[in-house]
Amino acid sequence: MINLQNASRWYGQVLGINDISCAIEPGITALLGPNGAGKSTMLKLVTGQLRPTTGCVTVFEERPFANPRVFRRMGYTPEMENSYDDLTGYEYVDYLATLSGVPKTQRKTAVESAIERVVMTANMHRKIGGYSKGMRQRIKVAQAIVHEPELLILDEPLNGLDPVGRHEVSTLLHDYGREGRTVLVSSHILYEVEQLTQRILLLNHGRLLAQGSIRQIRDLIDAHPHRIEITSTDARSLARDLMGLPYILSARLDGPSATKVEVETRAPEMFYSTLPEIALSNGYRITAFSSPDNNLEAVFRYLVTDKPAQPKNHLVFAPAETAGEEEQP
Amino acid sequence: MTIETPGNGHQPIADLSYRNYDGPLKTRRFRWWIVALANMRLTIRKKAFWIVASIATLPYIFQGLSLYIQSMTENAPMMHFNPMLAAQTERTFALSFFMAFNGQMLWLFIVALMCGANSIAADNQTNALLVYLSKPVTKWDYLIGKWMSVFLTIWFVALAPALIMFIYCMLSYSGDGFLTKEPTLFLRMIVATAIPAFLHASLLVGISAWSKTGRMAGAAYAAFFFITSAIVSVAAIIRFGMNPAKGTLMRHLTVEGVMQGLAQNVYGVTMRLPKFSKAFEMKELTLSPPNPWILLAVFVALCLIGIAAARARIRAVEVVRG
Repeated sequence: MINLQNASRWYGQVLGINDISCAIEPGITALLGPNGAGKSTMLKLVTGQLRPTTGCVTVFEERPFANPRVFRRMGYTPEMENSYDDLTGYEYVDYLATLSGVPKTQRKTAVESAIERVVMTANMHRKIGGYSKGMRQRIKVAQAIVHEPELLILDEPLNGLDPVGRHEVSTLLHDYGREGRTVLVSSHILYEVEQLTQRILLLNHGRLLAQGSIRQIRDLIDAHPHRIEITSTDARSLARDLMGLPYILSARLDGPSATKVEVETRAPEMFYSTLPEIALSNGYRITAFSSPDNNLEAVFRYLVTDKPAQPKNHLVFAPAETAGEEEQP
Repeated sequence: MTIETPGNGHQPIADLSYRNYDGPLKTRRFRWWIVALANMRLTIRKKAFWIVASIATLPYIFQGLSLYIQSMTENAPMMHFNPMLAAQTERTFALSFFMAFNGQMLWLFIVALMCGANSIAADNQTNALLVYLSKPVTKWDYLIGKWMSVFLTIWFVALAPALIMFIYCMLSYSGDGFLTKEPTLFLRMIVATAIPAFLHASLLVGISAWSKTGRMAGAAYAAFFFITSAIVSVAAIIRFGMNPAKGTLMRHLTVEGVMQGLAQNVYGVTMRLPKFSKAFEMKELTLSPPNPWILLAVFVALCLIGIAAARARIRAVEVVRG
């Protein structure tokens, strides 16, 4: 669907994106990265607003730059405001539906349907100037989906939306993904991206750091062992027993009267299979179990900032060969 | 946790046939018209536009009344002693149309500012180009649409009262040779009224494309319009003195002057104004049309510069070079 081959974009001496190669297939893909990472440049290359300085970008096997054939099959919601305050929501979507080539006979139905999907029917005849930020965001999404595009590109679509609005837009994007269309979403809100999709493209300093599923990427980050947090009535004894396992790098208690133990391991699968045996044989009552760094935020932090968060006021047990030391709270 | 990579069995894409999409979308042949129509809709919603457009009809109403009074008092003995009325007896219908056209100049300029200053600048301000140019619309479609919306709006304001006056003359003065003496007047009226629309539209889309707000574009165009007029007027006075009959071409080398000079050539009229000498003798001052070819060259150059400036600036993304 979308292919970038060694695509670079420079603005004079300023780097936009540098030598990016990736393929985006149908379904939802999230484009992540800190400010200045090159997300917007990449979206602009894909939407045909910019031409790559070197390399090649293709969408539907055609070069998208100023190519109406590609634009016809694509819907785009930019991050910035882009509507006239003097138009009503209906008029705005209708205008862009006309530009997208929706036939006159079907336009009214298409416009009303798109507006309904973003839950703006009640406000569609009000002027956009009177809309809240969330309503503007929804109407922007409506104009992008009014012609039922195969490829939907959204730059920060959840910005300004209230929780209900976020849920509605997320549901809409899920539906689009399920229908076999391609949805490319750029966002800073990692938690919500994680709810939307497990497939990500991670950019930093104009380079593609990682692509694929969050879990796969996380598994490949060898520099940072997996952290697993276990809540138990006898956390201290549990920590002691876990430290006997060869693939446990460290165990950390959350204080002298500890109820939680956090272990670090490079073999999470082995740990998950062993833990029940240890708990059953020693009679430990485990009340909660989670992996705090097996998520997008951790992947993002490890790859982009390379600074894993260190909990404070914890007791740390570590085998002699590792660098861990016992700390007093 | 499921992995959503397509094709690995965890998340099959249900509707794979959708990839062969060949939907009902039809790209219009005249896509620019959609852009033009949307821009004109915004203009005609403004009350101020209709107020100024109404005021712009006054010169034609005045000329119509003047023709009526002239026809009523044709044989009155008083007019032979009145130089202004005497001058009117010699005038053609084309002269009436040209004088009305001249009277409209300022109002057409204001209408141009109202519909043209915001045309592209508003899109720059709201980043609407990002959306428009991601639709199946080329840069030329967009530019022609914007240009056409300004052109048609100004032309409407210039042409509508002229048409009404033409119909009035046709109904009232056919017996006086209105259609027979000046058979090409209708065509000349169409062309003459299009001149300001063409020039204003071209210059304004150029300036508007380079502006972030409509106000900035309006101020820049007004400054260009009036400052060039002032400079040329001062230069003409220094070079040719106060006599308007001398240095006709130079006096027309302004935005307004080019429009007036070309329209005068199109109508083919020579202005004759009464002028009193120091000895209080009345003389006739003849203002012939300036050289049409030089004015046409200036007109074409200004139009091309405006359109080329807009073409160069219209892009969805502002590329800042580091």
